[in-house]
Amino acid sequence: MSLTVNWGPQHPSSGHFRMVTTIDGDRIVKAIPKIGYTHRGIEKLLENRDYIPAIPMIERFNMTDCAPMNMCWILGVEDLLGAEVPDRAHYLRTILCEISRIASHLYNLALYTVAIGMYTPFMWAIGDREYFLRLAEELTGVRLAFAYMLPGGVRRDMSEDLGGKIMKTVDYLEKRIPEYNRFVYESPTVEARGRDVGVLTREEALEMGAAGPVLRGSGVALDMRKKAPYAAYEKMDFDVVSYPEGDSHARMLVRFGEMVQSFRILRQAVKEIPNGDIHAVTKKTSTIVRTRGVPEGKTYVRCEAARGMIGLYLESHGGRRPYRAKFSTPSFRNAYILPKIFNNAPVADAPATYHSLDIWALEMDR
Amino acid sequence: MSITKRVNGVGEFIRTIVDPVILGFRHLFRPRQTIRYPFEYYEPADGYRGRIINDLEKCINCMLCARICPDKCISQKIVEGKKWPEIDFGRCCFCGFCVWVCPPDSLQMTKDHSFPTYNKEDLFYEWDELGEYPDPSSWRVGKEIKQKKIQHEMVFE
Repeated sequence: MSLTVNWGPQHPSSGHFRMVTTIDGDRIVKAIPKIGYTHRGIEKLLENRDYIPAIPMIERFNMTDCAPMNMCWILGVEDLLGAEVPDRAHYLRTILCEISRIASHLYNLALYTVAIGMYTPFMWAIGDREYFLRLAEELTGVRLAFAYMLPGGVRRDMSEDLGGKIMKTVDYLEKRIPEYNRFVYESPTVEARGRDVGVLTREEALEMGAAGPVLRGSGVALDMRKKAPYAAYEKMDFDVVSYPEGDSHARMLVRFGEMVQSFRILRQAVKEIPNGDIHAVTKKTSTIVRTRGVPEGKTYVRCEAARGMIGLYLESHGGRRPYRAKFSTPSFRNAYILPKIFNNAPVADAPATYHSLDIWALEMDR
Repeated sequence: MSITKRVNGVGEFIRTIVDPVILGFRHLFRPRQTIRYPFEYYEPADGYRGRIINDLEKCINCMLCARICPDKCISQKIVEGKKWPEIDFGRCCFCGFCVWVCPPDSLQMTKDHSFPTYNKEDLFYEWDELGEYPDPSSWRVGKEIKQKKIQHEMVFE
């Protein structure tokens, strides 16, 4: 006999998200994600916003990882404008994107470990994330919702001692890696909860259009930072981390590996950052966008957020407001995987599997 | 898969139990990562985006700030024929675009991040109220956390 149960949105571990599950005994027979609980119609609202005041709203897609959302919008606007961006601004954007990525992955580690019932790594991850939020605060002025990048450059320059602070924070986190490895990623308890749970094969991942760490956890090494480099990623030396297993644990390992790669990128970016302007001609490109808007045209740009590739289709009919802005967010594509992934798994594994996908419900519904 | 299959032998099994205890003891002697907020504080970074003030002598009454505001929280008030900005901080998202766009740099952001009120209406700052620089004692509550006291600052020091 089967029972239909709502998992979320009031479930302590689900976030703003509802999944209708059919349960037989303690096994999940069928799971259907119900998308749209937090739908805010941002894409429609963007049609009534100027290009620059739209930035804070776009960041509300995903507060834990808001730099890539901003990045994607700016890439689209710059593509339509044909704007030049100085090298230093590229590097500053890269630094902020990586800080945001590390903070987001640590936050996901916290959620995942709580879902499997370990509270110590939760404290560790949240505590270590704080250092990166502090770095973001030093760079942009706020801990979250940076609104830092503008068409043609960035808003603020890096202070002289920030480079050293970034290096020291990365040093500290690298010293913590063995602890994380020993007590989280290589711990038999964690492995027992994550191995062979929520398996997504390579073929399924490609067929369902998975994105980001979920795709790389299934053995497809696809990363937009390598595939279609933007900002300063072309000059950075880093690897794309992928694991062939396709289970929950592999996805967590991918995120951890990405964090280590992000440390490498941060080190290089801080070391190699060139001197010069941070904005094309002081405030000029963004002033053009603010006063005259962007010229007619359409474009599609992509960039790599912490949760996967984020795509933006931007169409302008001239003027200060976009005609159409359509985002393709990674959480939405990963939510499609949920019906496939449970495959008669126990109910107790549902929160851990869900958090291993790192679905951010607000980004999914937009 | 059960845990026992993942552990090679009794020795490793015991280590999986003993190691975390040892680590826990080591963490006891590390500096803590939190601050006891009402009794302690740490200074926000330079350039922190906190409460906005307006230098009334510099302001050229152009109202560009009201135009760029994404939340439409800046309204204008006409006093003696001049337009002055007024900010509803209940709606403000502290993106700082008004400060960025301000031609004479009369709008500025301060480090004031704690100005709670009992009424929503009190968050509306009128044009002359914006001219007052915030009292630092509003966020400097208790004693300042010195370097090396919390691990956080230790990393930076």
